[in-house]
Amino acid sequence: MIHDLYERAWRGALGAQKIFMRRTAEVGVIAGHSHLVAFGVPLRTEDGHLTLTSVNPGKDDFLCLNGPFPRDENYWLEAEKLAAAHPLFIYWHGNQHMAAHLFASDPPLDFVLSDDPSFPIANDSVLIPEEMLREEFAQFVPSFDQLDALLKRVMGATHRGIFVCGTPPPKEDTAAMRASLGREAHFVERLAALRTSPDAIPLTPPLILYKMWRVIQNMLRDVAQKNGAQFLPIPPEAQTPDGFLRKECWSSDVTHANSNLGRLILPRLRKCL
Amino acid sequence: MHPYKSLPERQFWSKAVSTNFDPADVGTFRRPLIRPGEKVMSAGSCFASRLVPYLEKSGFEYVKTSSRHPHFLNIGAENLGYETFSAPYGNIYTARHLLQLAQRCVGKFSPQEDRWHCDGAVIDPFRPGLRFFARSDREFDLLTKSYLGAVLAALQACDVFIFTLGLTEAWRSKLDGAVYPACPGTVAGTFDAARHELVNLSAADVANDLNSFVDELREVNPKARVILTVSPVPMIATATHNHVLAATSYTKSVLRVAAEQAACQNEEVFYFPFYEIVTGPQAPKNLFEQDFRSISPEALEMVMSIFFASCEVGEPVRVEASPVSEGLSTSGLVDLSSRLSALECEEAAQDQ
Repeated sequence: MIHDLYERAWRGALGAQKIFMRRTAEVGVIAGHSHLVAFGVPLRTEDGHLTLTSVNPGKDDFLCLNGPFPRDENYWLEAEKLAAAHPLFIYWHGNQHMAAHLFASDPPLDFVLSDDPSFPIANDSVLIPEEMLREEFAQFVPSFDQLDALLKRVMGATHRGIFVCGTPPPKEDTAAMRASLGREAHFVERLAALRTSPDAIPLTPPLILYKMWRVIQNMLRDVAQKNGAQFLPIPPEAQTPDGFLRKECWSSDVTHANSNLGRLILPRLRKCL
Repeated sequence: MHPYKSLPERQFWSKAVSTNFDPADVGTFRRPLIRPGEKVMSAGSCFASRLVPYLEKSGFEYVKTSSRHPHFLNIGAENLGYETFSAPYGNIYTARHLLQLAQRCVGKFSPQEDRWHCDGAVIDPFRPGLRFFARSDREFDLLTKSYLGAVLAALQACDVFIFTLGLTEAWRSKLDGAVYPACPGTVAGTFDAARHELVNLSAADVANDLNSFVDELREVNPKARVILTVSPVPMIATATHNHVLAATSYTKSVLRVAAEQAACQNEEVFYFPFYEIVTGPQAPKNLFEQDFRSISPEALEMVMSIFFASCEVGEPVRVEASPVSEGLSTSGLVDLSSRLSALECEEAAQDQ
């Protein structure tokens, strides 16, 4: 199957000679969910078949495993097989906070972030335990338990290094998020269900979304470390001084980053090869 | 002629127990214990938690000053019934714990050993089984402040406070006498003989604690009435050297005496005889399950129907028996959470 995938890549963007050369050197494979779009690859392949696509044309040191979306069992089985010969970089979900909390809850809520409890708590908000938020995030599918199971399998087999990668932080600009609400199906459907519009829906303050993102990064790190994998956080150069996603890295939708983020991440990944 | 000649039949065993026993006649009240529309708060042992569904459906207003944020209703249930009562205090087995909780709400008592740091969690020793525990001291401080505020609000809001006494044995801090609902180390934390000790409260201790609690309650809510009951559920374990049966007999006797004394010594404080109705020799055999400890659904139906007969209620109250709630946790303390979700109360952890 791996050979077949190389052949598919060969028929794609890469030349046969380059593929042959790279097969004798270290090539990182990037796999995961929607945040792969930061590497300039499409969310899914047109026919749902698995394919390896270069994310760094000209250097060919990283291939992205693309395929059906939502990802299916075959996708992850292929990632496991690739891990035997290549360092595997995993992007796992990372949108739980936006999916569940971009639209402000009633009453408003806030929480104390455990790894930096000094953040202010919003006035007139209901204080919830971070543990409750973690339990909510843990229920999302694909789940942290599924990541845990995947890591157990790949770490227990022959591998060339397994890395769990941090996902992009939220934008700091509420108006920008509101303006792009109509570009993600999840939010379009929810707005329709709520019979409201992007202009009318109250949004959770960016600081609270940022704290929630930190919780998710900590959960990713915990699962990685528990299994002996390395967690690679989002590079600081992609973040504002307050930790939000820098404007240059914004994509046109609410939750994802553009290829500028991918370009900032790749040097970090390269150090792991 | 002697004084017994003029007494009513209910005061004679042969006429009121051996024959013609009417459980509804056991209580002695001059007026309804609770009237329609009145706000009811309750606390107490495991048995008290099983009364709550009946109170909630009774036509009275069951006070709830803290409820889960509606966004998180699909998350698993709290452990150990922390979301059962009027505020999230969980089971309160002793009068000392109740008194200290009331004092904490108004700043009169601040336990020195008020938190345990365990594997990244900050555990509340007075609610050691919380599923949604704090993860930092600041979070612990803010959540505890919010919790105590909810307890105070419930005490201030109620017209009637029902307290079911459960135990005399308690584990306390040697530093300041703060009483825990469970022995440190059974549910969470670590037992340390240098810091923790057993106390087996006497009748005088419990009566004093109840009297002091009534004083504290009256300071924040002068009009509140208090109904005291004694749980008929035997102890799950004793830390004294006695047989658990003898220890249970002592405990229930002490609680019964103390409840009577508190009812006699305080205005608007009453005793309701759940204990006698369930454990008296006249009681049907089916009031306990086969372990001779668990109260059967039939017993609950019976005692609550008798209780409501002493109140002013409209329709009879029926509650479907529900299994002990179980939840799944994916938190960092998986083992602890899983174990807790299978427990009904802190006391049960002593038998694990």
